[in-house]
Amino acid sequence: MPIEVPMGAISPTMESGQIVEWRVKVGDKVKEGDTLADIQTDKAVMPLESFDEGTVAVLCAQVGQDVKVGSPVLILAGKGEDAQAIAAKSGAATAAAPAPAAAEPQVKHEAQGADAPYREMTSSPTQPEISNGQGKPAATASEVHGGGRIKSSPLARKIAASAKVDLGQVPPTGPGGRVIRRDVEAFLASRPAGSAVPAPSKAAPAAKPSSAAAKRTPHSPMRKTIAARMVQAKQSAPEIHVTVDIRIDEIVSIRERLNKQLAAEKIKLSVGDFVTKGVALALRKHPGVNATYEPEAIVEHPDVNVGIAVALEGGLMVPVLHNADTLGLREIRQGSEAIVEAARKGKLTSTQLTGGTFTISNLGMYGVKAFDAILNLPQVGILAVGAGEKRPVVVGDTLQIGTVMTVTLTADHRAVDGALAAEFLRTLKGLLEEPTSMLL
Amino acid sequence: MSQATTEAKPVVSKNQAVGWLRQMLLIRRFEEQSYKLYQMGGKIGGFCHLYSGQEPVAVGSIGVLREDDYVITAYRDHGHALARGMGANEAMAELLGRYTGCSKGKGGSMHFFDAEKGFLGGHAIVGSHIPLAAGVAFASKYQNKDSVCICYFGDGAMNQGSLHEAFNMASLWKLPVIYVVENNMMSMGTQLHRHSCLMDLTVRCGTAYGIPGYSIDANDIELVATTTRECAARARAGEGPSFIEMKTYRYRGHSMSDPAKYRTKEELEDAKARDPIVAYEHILKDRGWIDDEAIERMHDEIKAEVEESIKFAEESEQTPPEALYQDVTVAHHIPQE
Amino acid sequence: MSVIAYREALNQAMSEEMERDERVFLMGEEVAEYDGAYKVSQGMLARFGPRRIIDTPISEEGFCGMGIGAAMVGLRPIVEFMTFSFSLVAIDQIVNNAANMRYMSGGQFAVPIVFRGSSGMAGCLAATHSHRLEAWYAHIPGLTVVMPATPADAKGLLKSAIRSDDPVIFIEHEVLYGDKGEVPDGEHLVPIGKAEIKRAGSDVTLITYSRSLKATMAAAETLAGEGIDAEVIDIRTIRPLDLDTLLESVGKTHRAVIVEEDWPYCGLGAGISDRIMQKAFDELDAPIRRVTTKDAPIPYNRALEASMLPSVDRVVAQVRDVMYSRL
Repeated sequence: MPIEVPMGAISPTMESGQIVEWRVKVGDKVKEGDTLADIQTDKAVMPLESFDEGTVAVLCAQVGQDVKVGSPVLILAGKGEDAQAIAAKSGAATAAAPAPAAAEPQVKHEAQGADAPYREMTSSPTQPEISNGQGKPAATASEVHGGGRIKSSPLARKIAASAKVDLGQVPPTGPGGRVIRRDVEAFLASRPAGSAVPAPSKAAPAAKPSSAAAKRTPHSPMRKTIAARMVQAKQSAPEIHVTVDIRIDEIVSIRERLNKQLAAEKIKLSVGDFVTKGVALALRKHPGVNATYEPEAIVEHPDVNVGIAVALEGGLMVPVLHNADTLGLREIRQGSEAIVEAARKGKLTSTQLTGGTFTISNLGMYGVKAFDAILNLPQVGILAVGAGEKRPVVVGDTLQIGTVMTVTLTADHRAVDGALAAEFLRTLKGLLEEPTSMLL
Repeated sequence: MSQATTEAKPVVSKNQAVGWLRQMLLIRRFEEQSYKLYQMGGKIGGFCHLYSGQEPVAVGSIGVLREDDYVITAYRDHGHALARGMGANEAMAELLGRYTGCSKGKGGSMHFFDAEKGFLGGHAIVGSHIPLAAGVAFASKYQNKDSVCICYFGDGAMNQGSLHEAFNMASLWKLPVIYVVENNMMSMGTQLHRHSCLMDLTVRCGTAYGIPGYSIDANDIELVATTTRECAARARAGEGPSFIEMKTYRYRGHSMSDPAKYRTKEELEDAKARDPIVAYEHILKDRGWIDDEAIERMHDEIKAEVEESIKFAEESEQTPPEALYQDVTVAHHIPQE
Repeated sequence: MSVIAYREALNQAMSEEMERDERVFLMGEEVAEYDGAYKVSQGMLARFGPRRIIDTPISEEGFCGMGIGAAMVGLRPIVEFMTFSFSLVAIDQIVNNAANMRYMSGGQFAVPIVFRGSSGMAGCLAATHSHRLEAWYAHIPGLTVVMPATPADAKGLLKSAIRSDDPVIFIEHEVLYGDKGEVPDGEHLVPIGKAEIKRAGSDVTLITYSRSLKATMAAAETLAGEGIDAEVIDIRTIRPLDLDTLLESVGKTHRAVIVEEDWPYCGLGAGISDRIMQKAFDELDAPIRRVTTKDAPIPYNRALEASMLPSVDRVVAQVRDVMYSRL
């Protein structure tokens, strides 16, 4: 029997994976554990490994193509089987592989999928398959739902399907994260007019053709995830923003001294590392901020795992520095460097991607003075860090020049009230203005 | 000897007697061919209980009833149906599950019905039809008719509560019903002495309820007939139910899967040596009502008739898929699916 | 319109049908001389005489079988169970003979019979005398099962049941016998197989029958105070279910709660819920919920027994749940 190798759920939340690069070609012999392809998941580029031995008979997809989890990626000829015969036999069904029919690869996969029992078994049967009317599945389910399948009432699914709404983008308010009718209706009501219909209305006058075509970039899995999560956060979490200015003159001078000592190790602390350390300690003191909001409960976490937002080409990711409150500044710097590097190379491990209890987003390096960040649900807090800059500072009755940084805490008001947010920031301000207190 | 009784006092006309012989032969042939079809071709499924050996019971008793009387029996029902005049074709077609069968292929061996002939069914839950017979008799009485209902069951059914409830009411209300226990001495495989506290069934089922009880040798078809006739007369006169124990013997196992280990080969051989059909052939020959040639011809005709019934059944339409939802209720059946 | 009690409505139905059709008779324990254990047949012996109003021995299997036999040959018996709990000793007759006869005989025989009597938890009768057997009988193709909740339906449905050519399980409720209500004067027939919307509403469909209608209607009023507009449907006929009426309502409200005195597991509501989901899954915005008797034998103790029954509070709680109104 030929062996069909399906797209695996390499990341726990992925719906589909994009073939970044084939590591095998037709005719290659592979054994268990061999890497078959590099797959762009919603989180990272991961290797797809073979669980079987055989000869590659058919590649079912092309580089750049999205393959749904459970749909075949390639077909192996088993021991004693003729790879060419298998290729010929599966020819029609798998024409997508050799023929660059880029416009409609997904359609072909659907057809294949119908014959693939594995897909039947593994693809979540309750996963809504919403057509966008073009024969392709619409945007896949997203992180709005905390990964895994989207729970929704049948009616919500029906309404979403007819309105061509990706249920994954609809923030759920039903029990256990279920999307119910009112959620879809609220989502539709909140959508900008016109956005409901993917195809332009016939009544609308045809726009004059532009001399230069607009650049159209199909959503990458990461972009879809970001979009869905941001929408969800904005729609489901009532946010509160609390801002405080922090003098960082002490940090600046301590940092200079320490960096001299660390020069030999080629380690260079940033102001951000001090902020990370301070945030971690403040979280330890205020467990109500080191928490996640779940439908039935607020969950305060025993560990302080700080997520660091990292800008990437085409998006951003939030790798996690685990147990940040227990780390020294050197470890924070090294840890941060490691995860940022991994993120940029798409090599983050799932441990590095999960378990965050709070997030720091720092745009200081761009000279931003202050900004509001959007929550990274289900976490209840995210700190937006601006640039440290020289500002006039009133000390007593005198005006001085001080280095000041503005930070803004965005908190989920369902879990964090204004006073708690303020107390958290007061603690943080105290720690950062008197950095030696972090030694305590 | 029952034979002596019959010789001394013929109770039927020549035509009727020859007709009974013919019916008994038909039942025997029908049952033996059913046995073959069941075993050889797998054409008959499920449970199939054969009447071979017990023919005088059905033929002799039903033979003295009127057209407006009712017959109801248990699951060993082929013989009663044929004795009541059901055609071999309809009977065989039912065994083969055909739409032309007497129950449209939905009843099978144990559930033959023929409304036109007043044949109210084979019933497969032991004892369950005994109250039905009382109800049929009740209806006769309620409507001031003098139809009677005859109800057959095996000795095993005497141990069911339904029998005792029905007997009490039938006697209490003097219902025109004749209850016949076909005592073949084997309740499936448990012989009478192991399942009945009394060996005299007329005491258990007759005396106990104030119902006149008879116990007769049912190998004597004319004794069966006279006894039944007497009971029917009582019923029509408004004197209530009767109970007849008809001692008989079944040649085959309880059903097709029964090796009948509960009896000896000698016992069976002995019974066959006293075969009631052969005995009746002798009686009729002795009376000069039939000769060997006619008997031979009768055998051939019956052979052909049963052959024809198999052909009819095999050529008949299988009960079609749409029949699944037919006749569930008189009102339009709405499947609750 | 006249206001009469549920038991009187039943009595009228039987009496009117017996006047109308000579083939109809009533048979059961204590139906004649005693005037009925629950006085449903009061006065009928005097009116129709012992030929047609027949006291039987305590032999449920026997007289049920007799009724079936009589029905096979042209009569139209009404067989009364003192309570349906006692039908358990006659269930072979009902299931094997009454329900199957027409089918097994290839349509040659009909069994036009009504099995009627009280049922349900009537108060301190304990486990053996408090059975609710509607799901048992509704399970059987060939049977029709009817459960009136009001005097008007008791009369109209019983008359239809007596006129039915098929075996009808007509289940009354012991605690309803004294309930009074308006019953149309003159010939009053309620069709078998038709549910009735007892209260129109738009937010949630409450499906119920028999005695549970009362708690359900009360719950609907409570919910109205919370701004929840419940539609209450009395299914009246258990089999065949008037699915169309239920689907139409659920299509409007997108949620349903079934209220029943049956036990939960394999109870009637389970079957109803299944059928709604098969036909209207995409209309549902919440799982179908059920309020049932709790899953234990029925205790003698009054308070324990009361605690098992579907109550207004339990109905309201389930409705809030399917309305997501706690969140």
